Amino acid sequence: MALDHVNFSVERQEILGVIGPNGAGKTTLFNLISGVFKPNSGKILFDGQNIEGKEPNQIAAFGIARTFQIVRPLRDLSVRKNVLSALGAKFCSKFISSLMSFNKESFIQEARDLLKRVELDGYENELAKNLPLGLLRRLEIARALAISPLLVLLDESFSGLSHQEISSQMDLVKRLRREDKTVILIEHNMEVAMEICDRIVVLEYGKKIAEGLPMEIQNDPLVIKAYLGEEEQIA
Amino acid sequence: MFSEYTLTILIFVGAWIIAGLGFNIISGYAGQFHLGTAVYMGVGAYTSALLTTRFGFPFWTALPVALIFSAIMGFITGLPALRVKEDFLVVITIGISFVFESLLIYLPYFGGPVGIGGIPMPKLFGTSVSKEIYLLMVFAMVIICVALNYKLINSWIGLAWESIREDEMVTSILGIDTRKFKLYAFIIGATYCGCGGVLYAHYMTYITPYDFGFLPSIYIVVMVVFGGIGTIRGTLFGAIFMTMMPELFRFISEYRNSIYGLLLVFMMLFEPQGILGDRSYIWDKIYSSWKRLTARFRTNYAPINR
Repeated sequence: MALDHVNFSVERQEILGVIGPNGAGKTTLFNLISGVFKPNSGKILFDGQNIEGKEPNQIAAFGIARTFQIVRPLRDLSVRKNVLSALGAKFCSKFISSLMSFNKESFIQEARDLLKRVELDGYENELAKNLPLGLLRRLEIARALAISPLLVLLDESFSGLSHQEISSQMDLVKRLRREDKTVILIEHNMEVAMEICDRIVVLEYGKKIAEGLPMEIQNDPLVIKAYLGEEEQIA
Repeated sequence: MFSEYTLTILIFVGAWIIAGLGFNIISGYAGQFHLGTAVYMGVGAYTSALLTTRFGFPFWTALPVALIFSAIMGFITGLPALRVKEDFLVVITIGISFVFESLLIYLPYFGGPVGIGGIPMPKLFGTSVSKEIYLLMVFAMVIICVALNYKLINSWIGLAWESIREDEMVTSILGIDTRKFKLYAFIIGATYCGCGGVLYAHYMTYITPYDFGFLPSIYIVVMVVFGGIGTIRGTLFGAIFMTMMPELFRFISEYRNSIYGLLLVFMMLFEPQGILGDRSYIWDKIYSSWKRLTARFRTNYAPINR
């Protein structure tokens, strides 16, 4: 079983961390929430509505966006088109509106504004496949923000980043909360998780083994044991 | 003005351009690799042929009906394609191709292996059009089809298609119903191919099942892949080049299949983007020369800030 009776909730404007050793089921959790996987049993409630079993595009319409652990840009499209694709989703619900041109000044400007928010302006004509990892992670976030989400799922968006990049990425995540968004983030980087999360949920082998404030989690013997098995140190 | 021979080639070029554009929509933009697009040409051709020969429809009524039937066929064949991924999709399209050809051969309603003959030329103001006028008609259709294609690729539907081609799961996560848009690609692409089929049928005046089997589908693929799949210019170039080459060079005509096969292999090894595809060697050269030549007419922007 990938996830066994995992039960938790997230409050609005909270930054919730999901941590745990490899194979704990963290990404599976995101796949379930975003509709990539359908649960065999259990419920997922978003703002009081059941979203389990729905298709990914339906879940996006509820206002849930996600990024991927291994970045998945639209490789042969420009950075601008990557963001426009996300912006266009709202026009793609009806055939008639999907026939509208995307080359209008208002749409291009909206795309530029999003790129500016993640400091990717200036790269809009680059093909996504030519960007380095750090920038691609920002592109993933720009794309996620383009669908005007209420909840953002960040899957290890800090891994592989330099010290400076981590710092600006953390600022970005904090800004999200100020913009009335809720964030759930999966992280392997303990420093980041401890610093930025309001609360943390810990998974191991598909089960929730702890939940609480970062300080509590740091000192939780069960959590320490789970990670020692992986030879990882909690800062 | 043109000899009959030239007229024929040009009309064929027109029909293949339109069919190629259809294939490019399904496989080039939406990334649904389809080896059976001649099926849609066949639906268009046979529908129009039957309506005009057996039911006395005029060409101008038969044409839109044929297009609608092509669209329906696109929808029907698109449905199973929604359930399978990539490699298996190609297999399905091959299967569809053979099933279709067999139905045309074995069902007497469609005229059997001999096909349908006596397909009339369209009538304008009471008289059948001359071949020159027909060429004008084809030319007009090509213009319309290309213009529509530009509209599509610059609109949200075109962007959704390209996004699906790049990463279908991500596209879904962004909120786009990928199944719907894949179907749109099949339907619209099939309609394009059907149009090409109708134009072909009424000029040839007779059609057989073999005109719309697996090999013709492959010809369409070779044309577009050679020219530059995923681009309009590539489709145009490929259709023009591949239709004219066998006519200009007897050698190519005689060894057509081998040459097309070799061409495909060669292209995949050295220039999978196609001759005029995005970022192909030749297109890069053309594009940068164009930029250099027209630079004086454009404002200079500051270099990209890294």
